[in-house]
Amino acid sequence: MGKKRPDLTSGESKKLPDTTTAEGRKEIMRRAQAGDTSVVPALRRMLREDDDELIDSGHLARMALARAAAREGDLLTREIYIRQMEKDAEELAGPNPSPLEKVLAERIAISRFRCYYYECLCVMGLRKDTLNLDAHKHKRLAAAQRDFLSSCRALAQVRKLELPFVQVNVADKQQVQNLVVTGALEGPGGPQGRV
Amino acid sequence: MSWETRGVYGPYYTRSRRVDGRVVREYVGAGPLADIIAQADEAEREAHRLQRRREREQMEQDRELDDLFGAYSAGVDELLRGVLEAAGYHQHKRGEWRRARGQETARLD
Repeated sequence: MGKKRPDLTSGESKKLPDTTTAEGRKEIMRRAQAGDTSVVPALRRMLREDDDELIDSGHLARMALARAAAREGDLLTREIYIRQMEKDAEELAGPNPSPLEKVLAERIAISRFRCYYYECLCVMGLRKDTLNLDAHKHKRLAAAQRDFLSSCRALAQVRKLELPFVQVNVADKQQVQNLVVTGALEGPGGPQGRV
Repeated sequence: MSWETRGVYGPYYTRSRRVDGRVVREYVGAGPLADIIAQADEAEREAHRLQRRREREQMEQDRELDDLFGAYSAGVDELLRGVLEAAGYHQHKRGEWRRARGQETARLD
């Protein structure tokens, strides 16, 4: 007889993590992905309170890529790959990136990792793969490299263009920050833009 | 591959292969040794079939991953286009983004 798996859908599997910390938020997202219904109210609250997670549009692509690149069940490698992509994206985005720059930098990081991964697959299959499979892998690699270059071009273009900016005055401390217009405007009820 | 019988002789185990676009059948042998060779050939063909199936499955998986990236990338491009167009830029001949003539940088305080 096999081990009994924990029932994640029962709603009483674990204590809810603290949503005010980054670790807690990540834990909630992880559990939600695993199908744990008990975290859904906290997840909804979290997404309503701060839409920082919504800007993380590459999450799905990052996860899928890391899952494909790591060996089945090797969570350590998978998490390292994910962290590597996040770190690359942060570096590429630089200090105080606009939301658009953040998204574009993330795409570059993902595309770059994708190129590395596909290159590894090509090298690993040398003298082993059939001609058909080899051609398929090289075609994928070429497509990934094109995608990577076009991602870099997009970020460079955005940085080169003088996009209009919004000056946001945060009431108490009067900090002045410039935002690229992406719908992050100051509304009547106070600053709504991400600063 | 085939076993061939000619009149009262046979069966003989033969192999077919293509030479200059024509199929040439070559005699391998008869009796227990031919049986063993035929089984080995069959095992080799089965291995090739399995490999081809594995390749097809892998390509299918790869295609799913690539489709996901395609959708993600298209979404980001769409976002980029939306933001730049909202900011008064237009794409010149599917290449660089240019600002419309006479349009100044908007500044909101």
